[in-house]
Amino acid sequence: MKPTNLFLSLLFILASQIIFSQTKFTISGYLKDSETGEVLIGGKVYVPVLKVGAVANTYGFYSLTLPAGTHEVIYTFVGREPIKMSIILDADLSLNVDLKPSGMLDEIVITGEVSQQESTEISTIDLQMEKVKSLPVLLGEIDILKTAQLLPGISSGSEGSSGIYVRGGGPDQNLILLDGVPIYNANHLFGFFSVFNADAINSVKIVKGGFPAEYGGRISSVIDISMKEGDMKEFHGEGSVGIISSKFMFNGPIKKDKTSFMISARRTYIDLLAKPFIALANSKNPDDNVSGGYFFYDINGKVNHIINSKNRIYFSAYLGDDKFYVKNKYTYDDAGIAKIEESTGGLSWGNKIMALRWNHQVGPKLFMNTTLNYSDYIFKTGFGLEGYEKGKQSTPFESYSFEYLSGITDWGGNMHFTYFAGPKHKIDFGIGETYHTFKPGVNQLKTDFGGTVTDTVYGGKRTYAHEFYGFIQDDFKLNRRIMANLGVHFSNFIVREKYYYALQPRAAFNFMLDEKSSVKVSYSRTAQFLHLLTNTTIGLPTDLWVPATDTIPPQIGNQFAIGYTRELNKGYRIGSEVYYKTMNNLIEYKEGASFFDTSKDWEQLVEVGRGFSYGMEVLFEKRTGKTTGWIGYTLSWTMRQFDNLNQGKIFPYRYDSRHDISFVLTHKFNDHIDVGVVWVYATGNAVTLALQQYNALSQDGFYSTTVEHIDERNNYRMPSYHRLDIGVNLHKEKKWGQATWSFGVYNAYNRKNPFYLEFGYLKNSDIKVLKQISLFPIIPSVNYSFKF
Amino acid sequence: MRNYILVIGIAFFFNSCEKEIPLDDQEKAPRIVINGIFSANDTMRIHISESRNILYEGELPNITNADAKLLDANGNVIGTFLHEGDGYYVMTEVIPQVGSVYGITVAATGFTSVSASSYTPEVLSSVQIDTLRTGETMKYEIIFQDDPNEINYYSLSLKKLYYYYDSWTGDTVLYEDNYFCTNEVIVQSGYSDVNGDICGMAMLFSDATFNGQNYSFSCSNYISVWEDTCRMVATLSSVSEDYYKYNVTLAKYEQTQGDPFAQPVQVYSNIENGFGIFGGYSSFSDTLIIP
Repeated sequence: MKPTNLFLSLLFILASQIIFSQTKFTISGYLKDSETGEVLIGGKVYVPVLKVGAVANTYGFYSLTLPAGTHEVIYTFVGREPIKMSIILDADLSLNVDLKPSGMLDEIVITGEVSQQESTEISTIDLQMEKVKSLPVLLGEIDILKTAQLLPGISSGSEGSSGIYVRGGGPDQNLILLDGVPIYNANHLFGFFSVFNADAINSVKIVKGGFPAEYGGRISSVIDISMKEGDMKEFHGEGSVGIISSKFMFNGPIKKDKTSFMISARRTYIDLLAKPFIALANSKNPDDNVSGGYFFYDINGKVNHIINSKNRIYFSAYLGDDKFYVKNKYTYDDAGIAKIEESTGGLSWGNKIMALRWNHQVGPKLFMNTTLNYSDYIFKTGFGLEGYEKGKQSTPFESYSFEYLSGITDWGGNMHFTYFAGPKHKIDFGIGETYHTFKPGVNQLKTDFGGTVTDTVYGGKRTYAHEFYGFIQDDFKLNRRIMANLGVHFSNFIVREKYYYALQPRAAFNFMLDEKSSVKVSYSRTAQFLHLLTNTTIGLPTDLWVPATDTIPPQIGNQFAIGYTRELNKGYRIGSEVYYKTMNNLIEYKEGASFFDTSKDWEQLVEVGRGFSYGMEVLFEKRTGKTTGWIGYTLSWTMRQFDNLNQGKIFPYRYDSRHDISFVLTHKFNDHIDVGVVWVYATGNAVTLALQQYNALSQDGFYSTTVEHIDERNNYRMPSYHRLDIGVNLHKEKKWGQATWSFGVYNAYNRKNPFYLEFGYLKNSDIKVLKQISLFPIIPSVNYSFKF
Repeated sequence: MRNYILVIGIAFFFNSCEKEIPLDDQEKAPRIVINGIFSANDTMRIHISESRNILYEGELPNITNADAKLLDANGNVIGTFLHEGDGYYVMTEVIPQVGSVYGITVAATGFTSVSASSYTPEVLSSVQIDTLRTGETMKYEIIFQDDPNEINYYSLSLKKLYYYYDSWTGDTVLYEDNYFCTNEVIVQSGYSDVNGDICGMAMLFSDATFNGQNYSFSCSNYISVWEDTCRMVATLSSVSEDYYKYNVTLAKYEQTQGDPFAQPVQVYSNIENGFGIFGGYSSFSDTLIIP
């Protein structure tokens, strides 16, 4: 070969090597369940040799840019058999991967999840629905929020409640999203159950701190819940019949591999079960007829349509209501004339939400989601009284009715982009807008006494507000050991010609000490333009959602957190975090303010103050094998300070609980039997109790008032709370699917846990005492569920 | 109410459990209570009684053998209260002066000693009262100058004295009516009526919104055509901060009694180791003859 040709050949080879080695291509696609076609949110894609990976987003989409060449790629997801494949990458590749369910987590899955240590996510938990469904629960009603309460840093507030108090924050400070749409009241049955039907849920992500910039609007937590999308291939259903409610979920393809649907419904039958008892009581007193009951229902629905490989649309909806009603008809004789007095009373509340979403893959590295949503929450209570002569109901001689109404309606939309710049670099950005209509506490009073009629409306006027935001965040790897997520969320709020804005920096750093352990540090500033006015004196859903206004500023939160996690052998993991959190511009009712005060707007009934909390959380988990579970411990302090409450002194928050322990264990004997055990302990809540009384004389000495003296707000600690729940699930394969009998015992050792305290008399006693009222004794439950 | 409870109880199927939570001795121990509002240039008369724990049901006893002493601003004893009867004690040695600080200590067998201090503010030097009668409504403008050098607290009362002919008995009787209303948003006591006005027998307010200014306080009351020879005694008092806080919180407490939806109220007390109030005030009064 001539030297020139040799030189040119070498030059060509060298150039092509250089070019080829710098060339990168992107693998992207969707991770799905092979049997149902459901997307696997949070599924992981990992390249062990390069130690890079990616995580599937809320829509199951992943994107990973790698140098050209051959790579061994592992696809994993909890509860699925991992797939290892060898991929020759010489062009951008669209690759959808389906993972099969596995019976048990094993080491291979854990190896694939080593990349968890590389994540900048801190204070974040992904709740596994399989775990949620295997735990013993109150009345056999599986509840994702009740499961969340078993994790450190998250408490329930009171017995049986599905309220969420995260790191000392209030129940309004949790952004609860159902398919991206905020839910304002996530409670059924006065808080004993949440509105989420576990059969309709795909995944739950809980963020307690270190909030990524994409989230905004609440200052304590994000609970991001995704509904199932429906099986793209076959029809399936699940249902259960329990002691107080039944539910059914049905899903399947409308067009195979193109369009699917999911619909689920749940209803209680407490009202039906109570009817015979009420009839029995009425039979003993024919002149005094009582009827009443309580029920709740909820319906979830979703349609998912794949337009083409780059476009999908989803429509999801939720509708749910709680209704409590009571009616009393009393017949009496008035100077020989038969008269009837009819009284009615009731409470109802409910949510309606709808979301229409469009996913568009702009390119192999750029993913877009656009959402339009609607959310409506309304609460109503009322009572009425009517008196009429028998047979003359149309002409009552007296009538009185009172109705109280409050609610919030949102119309909104947002666009969210994810740019997968590289395996070490992912950028998210987006904008959104919500138009709020607040209806805080409108009272209507109608009376008709002997022809004198009044019809008056009092209370809060509708308030309209615009909330719009933008965000950008960059999740990147600085080097092999240090990763960072830096971002900013900028939100704006316009109400009554008042403009608020909040620039909210977010930062999270992950320092990998080695392959199995890491230290994470985060700071978040958050803003919340809504407040929830909670009436602490009565346990009813009378909470009002109200906006920040020209006189009531938005809530601002700041949180620092430092955490350490370590993967141990045989599927064990230990993690610990300390946090410090401040909350400004919190609101509370003024002393003496009444929830039904019709003469003032709500703004005149509240004080503005601040709160702070700090603590330490430890979570020790076993995540693989036949026996799995965790022990969680939280040591925390949560305080409040208002200049015009408690004489300006700092006082403990009602739900300040010094120690919180949860022990959760599930054991799978075989495919037919598994058991679950849960034990929880919490220091008692802080309540306000007057412990002394004295006479206060008027200035002229003519009269006196007996004052029940309250030394400090939340001055008294209720007894501690602890409880053991045990459950066993017996599965049987049938020709048509699977049937499961679940037997459980709630509060297995019958602990009398405090629900509330009051001064009064015990049965058969005339001595006044401080009484503890307990709600749930030992309660067995049985539940039959099926899957086909 | 019984039927509502029946339905709720049946609907839940559960029997709620009750048990006693014992209160510890610290929480049960009675303390000394002082009701001690005093005025400048007037004999100081206080009432001393016992508190009881919240479970007690019975008359709250007076303390008739207390050792109650009056102190000056420096903590020196300047007088001893004498028991008159029924827990009332009188100070005969000292008449409180305007602009002075006084302290009190009370000791009694079986109780932890208590103490407090308060002051009598400066009297308002000039108060002008303008009136306007429209039918049966009498409107007042009470105009005064606020001291810019300190935070001031005020209490306004309007006492209507009139004669009323009782046709049933044939007698003409002297009546007293202290009820009046205002639409001043600065008032921290009283009841809201259906018109949004605040009504009551004393209006308490501070100078937070008008510090150092000449302020005109508007209010009104009702005068019937049948009420003869009517006189109005308007009293504008400068009150101590303790007096103000105590009476504002006590008024709120009284208003919320029996309302299960109302937020709890902490009645203010400046009695260390005890309960009640030791608070001073100084008054300006004027009597108006209503034609």
